[in-house]
Amino acid sequence: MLRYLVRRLLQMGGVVVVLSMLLFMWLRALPGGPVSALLGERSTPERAAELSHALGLDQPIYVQYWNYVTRIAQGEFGPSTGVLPGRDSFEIFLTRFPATIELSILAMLLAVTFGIPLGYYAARRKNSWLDNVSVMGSLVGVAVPVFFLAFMLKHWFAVELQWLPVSGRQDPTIDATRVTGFFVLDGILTQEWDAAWDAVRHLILPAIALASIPFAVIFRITRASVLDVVEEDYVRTANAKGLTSRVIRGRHILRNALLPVVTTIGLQTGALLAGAVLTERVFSYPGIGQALASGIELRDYPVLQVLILAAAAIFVVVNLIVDMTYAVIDPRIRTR
Amino acid sequence: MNQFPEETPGQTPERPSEPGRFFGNRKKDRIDQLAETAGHTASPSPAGTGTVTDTVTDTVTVADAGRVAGGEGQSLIASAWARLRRNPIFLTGAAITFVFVVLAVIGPWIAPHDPAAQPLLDQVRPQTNPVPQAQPGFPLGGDTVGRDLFSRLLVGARQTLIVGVLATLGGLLGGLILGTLAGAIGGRVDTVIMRIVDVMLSIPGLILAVSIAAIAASPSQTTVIIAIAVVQIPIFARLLRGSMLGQRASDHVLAARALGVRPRAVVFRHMLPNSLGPVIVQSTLVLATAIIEAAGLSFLGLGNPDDRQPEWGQMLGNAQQLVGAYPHLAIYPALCIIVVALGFTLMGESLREALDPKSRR
Repeated sequence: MLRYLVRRLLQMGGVVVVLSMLLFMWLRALPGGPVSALLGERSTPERAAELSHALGLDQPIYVQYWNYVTRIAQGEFGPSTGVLPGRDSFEIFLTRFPATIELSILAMLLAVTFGIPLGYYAARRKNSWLDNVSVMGSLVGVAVPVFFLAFMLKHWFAVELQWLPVSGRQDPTIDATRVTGFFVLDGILTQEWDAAWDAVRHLILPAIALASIPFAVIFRITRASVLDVVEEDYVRTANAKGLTSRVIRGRHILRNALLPVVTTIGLQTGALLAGAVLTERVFSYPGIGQALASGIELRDYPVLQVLILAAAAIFVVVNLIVDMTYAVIDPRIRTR
Repeated sequence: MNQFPEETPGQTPERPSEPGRFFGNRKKDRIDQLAETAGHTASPSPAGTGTVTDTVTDTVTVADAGRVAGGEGQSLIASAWARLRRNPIFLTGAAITFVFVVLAVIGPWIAPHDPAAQPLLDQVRPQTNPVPQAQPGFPLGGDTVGRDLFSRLLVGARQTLIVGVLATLGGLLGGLILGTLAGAIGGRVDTVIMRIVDVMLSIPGLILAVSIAAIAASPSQTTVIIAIAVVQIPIFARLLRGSMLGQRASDHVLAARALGVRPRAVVFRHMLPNSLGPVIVQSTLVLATAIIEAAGLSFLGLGNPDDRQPEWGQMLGNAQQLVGAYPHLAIYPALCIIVVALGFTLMGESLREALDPKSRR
């Protein structure tokens, strides 16, 4: 197990190195080069020369790369030029991050709690109306642009029916105590139930929109995987032995069928991050997705840099965690 | 040689759960599994005898180059085609695609108005009435600058198809080059290429597209296409490399080598054509995502700012300011995108299923 972990960590190191090179090249490829990209509109020839020297752009490229890596390793990405001008980009990321985590966790919970049972029952009742409707639904779910779904949910449930709030993370009139930055958790910790409930209400619509893609994927993988497993010899044997259908379902079918689903969940964090960029913008939800969207609009390259690196890092780390879980569930993997 | 699962009972052709060389295995494994189906569509038959002409898609033609003689007396392609012809899901997808392509070709001729002309401009009042209503001659009304929405939807099919096809072709070409290099040369070249491909796969698609589109000084149709194409490159590269590796180990390649066929001819005449089946299935699916991602980029302000030639994703992205009061501005282009994306997905999924030898039972 330990050897497996070490090997995976080494591989991850390789990915991070290549990724940092790509980001370094990306920054150099930006319009006007890194200096004007970092300074934005406040660029003057003196400041440009100063920054050029400060960044070591007059030095050879490998020295520049090394300086770049040491800077980002310390979280120094430079001040924001557009989203919150003057604020440190890394700080912006840190303040926005909990919002996106909250949203993604809820979205993933929705996708898993509906996707897996539905996938299971659709597979067990193959070609029934439930199966056909949900397969069709999952195909449509993938075809609907996430932000359009978000628009429509907002239009129906927030604007027309007024069941849920239109935008934001929490009603600004609520005087909530901040502890962790996770608003729902804060409300629970400080026992300000109205604050927690209000934060949850703000989360529901964006989470549903965000959950649409992972839901469709998890549903289809579960269904395909259950269909595969049901035909396995050990399920037939279990049936022949006369085990109760509950034991067969839990121990023989689900346990094996869920293995691929676990990795899919990790993989879907990528879709969640990408979807968050679109959904958060529709609901003016102050997470890293919205920061990324306004960073693009305002050409705020320091902020974009942090967020792109962060998105890749989150994706890599989550997948590492998922792979570790996978190794725990499926002992065959550890031995390789 | 023959790898059909029926002949190895009790054993599925897929590895049950190939473990990780790397994070994000599942994405790669799915690509790799799809790649394995290439081995089945291909066989040591006289290559280049593409005889089927009544094809709806290229898949049949290309894959037919490796028509299987043997198996159950019917080639995989022939049996796949026989099943596809009666498969309502495939037919629905093919019908949608057909209508879409026809619309893309004839759209500008059947549109009642010029999509760039502004016949309703005098009805637009930015404060009181920003969007002209539906009226005789203008079944869906106008947009914010007085252009006919219905005509723009009809004409928009063309640009949408162009964006989707060019982005897919770009990704396919990039993936084809990288995948062929990695699969045909192997060794260190393979390692380096696949490492880069893995890193590209590790960045969420839309975020990668956004970073690429942000490099351009000013967004345009071309930057949208390039951004989406680059995102697809690693997927195609991995897919193709997988099937090339499978081909390299196969008997007909060994036979060709033994006969002294030059390495280049082995790669281009024997390995590459036989590896293309899953790549083409993937292209169908990628076309759908490319159109959706183009809409996403437009929504984020990275789309083509020139909207004289309409494109559905751009129309949907630009509708965001008014979507609260005038949701129909977003609903119509969105419906078009959903239907077309669904059409390509249905076609791709049923093709994949039909080409998968497991489903032949």
